[in-house]
Amino acid sequence: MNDRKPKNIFIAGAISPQFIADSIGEHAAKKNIGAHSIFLGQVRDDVLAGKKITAIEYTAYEEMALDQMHILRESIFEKYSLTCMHVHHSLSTVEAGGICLFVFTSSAHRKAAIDACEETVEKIKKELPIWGNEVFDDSTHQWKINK
Amino acid sequence: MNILLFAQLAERFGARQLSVPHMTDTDTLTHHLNNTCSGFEKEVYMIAVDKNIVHENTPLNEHSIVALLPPFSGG
Repeated sequence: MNDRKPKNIFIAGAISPQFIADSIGEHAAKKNIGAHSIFLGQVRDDVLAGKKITAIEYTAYEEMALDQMHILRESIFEKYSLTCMHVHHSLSTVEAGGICLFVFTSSAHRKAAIDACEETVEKIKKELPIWGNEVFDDSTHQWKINK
Repeated sequence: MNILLFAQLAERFGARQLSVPHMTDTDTLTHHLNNTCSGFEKEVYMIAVDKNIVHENTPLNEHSIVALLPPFSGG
């Protein structure tokens, strides 16, 4: 039995490096943690057909995404011995170079944190109803395709 | 009933919701969309009913929340 409730993972705009640093710092008091694994997704300025991506605009079916994230979180805690896990995803516009996804897992020993982080990232990209619209330097756009 | 639209589909219809006559199930909805929207059968999407993705024909009632979900591209 746990008291984990659905958490809001969405942040308007880019996730700031300061927010990430503060998140790490907040775990200093948890002395049973021996390892953190952190994934940061950053918007890349890909060039497609001669046009460069300048930003991605993220939208989501938020209610469903939060429900699915809660189910995912519970399955990760069931599978891995984690102390805690934090997920943040941007909505709205994130410019190239900005952080749009922050997954942070902590455990007593490193293998659980590393494996849980990787699996969580893959499942977020595959299973959550979130969409990215890639904006180009000529103001055109195309919908992102996850590979 | 209102159908929630996202991403490419919201862009196609210029709206986040589409009003359709009440549908008894998801197959009927799909047929309606294919028959009333030119080229819609070429669109790629999943259907969610009450925030759960359905892969088979699913009954709908007046309270069902239906969403059309293009391929996800978060992260």
